[in-house]
Amino acid sequence: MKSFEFVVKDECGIHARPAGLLANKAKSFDSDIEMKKGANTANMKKLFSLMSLGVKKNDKVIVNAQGADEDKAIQDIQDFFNKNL
Amino acid sequence: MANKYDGLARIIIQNVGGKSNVISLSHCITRLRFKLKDESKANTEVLKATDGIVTVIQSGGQYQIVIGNNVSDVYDVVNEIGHFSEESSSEEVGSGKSGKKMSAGAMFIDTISGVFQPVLGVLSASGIIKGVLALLVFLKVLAPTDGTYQILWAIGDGFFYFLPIILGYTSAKKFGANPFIGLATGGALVYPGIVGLSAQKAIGTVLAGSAFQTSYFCTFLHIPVLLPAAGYASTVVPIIVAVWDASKLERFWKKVLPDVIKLFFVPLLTLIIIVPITFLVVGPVTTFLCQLIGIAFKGLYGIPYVGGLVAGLILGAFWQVLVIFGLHWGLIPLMMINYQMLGYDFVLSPFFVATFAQSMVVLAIFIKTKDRKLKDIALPAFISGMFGVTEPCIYGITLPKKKPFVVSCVASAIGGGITGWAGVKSYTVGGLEIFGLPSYINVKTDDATDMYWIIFATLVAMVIAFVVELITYKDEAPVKKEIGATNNKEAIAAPMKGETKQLSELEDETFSSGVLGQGIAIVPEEGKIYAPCNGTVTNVAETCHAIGITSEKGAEILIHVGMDTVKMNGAGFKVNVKSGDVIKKGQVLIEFDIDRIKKAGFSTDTPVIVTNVDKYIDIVPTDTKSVSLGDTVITIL
Repeated sequence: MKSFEFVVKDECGIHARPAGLLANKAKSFDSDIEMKKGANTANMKKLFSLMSLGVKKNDKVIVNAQGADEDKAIQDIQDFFNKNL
Repeated sequence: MANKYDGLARIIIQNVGGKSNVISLSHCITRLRFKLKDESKANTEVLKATDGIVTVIQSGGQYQIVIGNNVSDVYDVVNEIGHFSEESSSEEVGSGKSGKKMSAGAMFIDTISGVFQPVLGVLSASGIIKGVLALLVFLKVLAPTDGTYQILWAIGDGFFYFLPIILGYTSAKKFGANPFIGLATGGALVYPGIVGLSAQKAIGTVLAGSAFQTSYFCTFLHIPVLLPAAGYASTVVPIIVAVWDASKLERFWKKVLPDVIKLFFVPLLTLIIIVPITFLVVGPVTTFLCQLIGIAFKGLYGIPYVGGLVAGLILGAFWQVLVIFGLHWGLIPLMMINYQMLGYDFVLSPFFVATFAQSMVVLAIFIKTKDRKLKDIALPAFISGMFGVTEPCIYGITLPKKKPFVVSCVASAIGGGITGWAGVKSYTVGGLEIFGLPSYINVKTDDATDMYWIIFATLVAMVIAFVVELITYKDEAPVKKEIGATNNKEAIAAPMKGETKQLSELEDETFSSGVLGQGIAIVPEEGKIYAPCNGTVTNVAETCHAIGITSEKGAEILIHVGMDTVKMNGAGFKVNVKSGDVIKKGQVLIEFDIDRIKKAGFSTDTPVIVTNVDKYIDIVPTDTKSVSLGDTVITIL
């Protein structure tokens, strides 16, 4: 399993639009990918699940990926976070 | 919206890969004929399983959806929704944009059916008029010298005589050329002054002494102009070839000429080159080829004792197979050539038998089956078949069941063998089936022998088909086939009143590209979001501008008020529910201040999106321009 931690810097947090883009990115990998915020865990491939976390600015999230392409998944998703969030 | 084919039309459009995947759409007597950019995008299995669709055939570069006799109604609705071009659009032919590269054969069939398709109805009507007139003359009701006869004959024959003009138009549509250039070319080919030339004294002969000997009656810039014996009246191939060339040339001129003079110079420079070339090159070449084909077939039929029998057997047996692939159109010009070169045709005689055999097989099934649903299809299919339209029989019944199809082929082969052996000839393009009988009467000699032969051959084939099928047919064990798609169908109501926009029209790429899901956007007239269905609130954005709802049936619906309104940070928004709340359709979920959103500089376009699209076959947004609260805006399949 691979993972990384990230503190969201974007003013608006992970709202519908970035959540959609994230879910789409996550769907392109075979690995199981989840995002944790505090005690709550979301399936990153599901938009609704992701949005339910209600991630806001300065929230800390942990992204976990497990599967054949986990390295690439974590790398790409981390890139996305750095660029957009 | 009240049209009963509305749902079907939408399913069809979605499953041929959406509007954007369609190059053009036309229909024949039972099929919708799509030309698709990428046939792999079409959801053939779903279409086949849809009520109202008999089957799907991919052939000759066309994606054909077999509907039945009501196809024109369905076509109208599909076209209303999709606004497809009917054959044409210059990208269709030659420019290679069609995703699938077509083989030469497929291209040929595609061309012929495309060119003849739009005129089939009138072609049959003219044929029936000619056929009935032949019968009336045969029965001595009318004489060919009567004014009544002559007027009626003009209706029937005028169309055939000026066929190059008519095909000039349809070919131009087909090849994406200016239709009036096609008409002008056809008009030049059958211009009475030119046709009249061959009545004058020949001024020379080429290839004298060979089977291809042709006289010429005039020269163009000192080059002999070869004309077919009867000029170009009623010809098929020359005009198609000429217009194809013209379409290429027209495109070239359009590219190189300055805009200001295009209107006048493109047709001028196209016609002034194409028409003489047609007379000098295309005309003679195609004339020779036609002679060659005519000779070859006459030769095959002319083999002593067995030629006609063999040819008839083969044609009878495989006619329906040709029909399935739409290949039967390849024989139409041959028949036309025969009429034109010989004054009669024998190539298509076995086909007459084949359609009746097919129909009788279906009648046998109708009588024998206990399956109510099959009976319901079989009777209209049989009647339709007796009038010559066998597609419902073939695609609705015999082919899916396979064995009945083979039975009809065997019966047709026997009937076709008889027609071939007897050398049965038809003398005009007949109407379909029963109406086609009079075309087997030789008007010139008042001889109905050919008609008696065709009746005999047909009766033999009909009896064989009917009896064999009646003996061999057995109902299959009933298979319960539930279509998942229709069971899961769910309607999402408008959560507000307002004008609609397709997602693709939205400025925000995340929505317009469909990343978030499929659905529709509404420009709200009132600052309230009502629940679009019964369900549960799954999530509410901290900033109150978006809400996620999971419907009772499991659809995950996102309603996002305005574009970029996340930046308003909740100002002007009030949410009446919280995550986990069970909601009833029509309940107010969010209240918002439209003016405030506008003043803040944001669009109020509100996408309503189904996000878990992977779970469904399709998400179909409405195409009405404005919706009221509670109208269905999205249908989930």
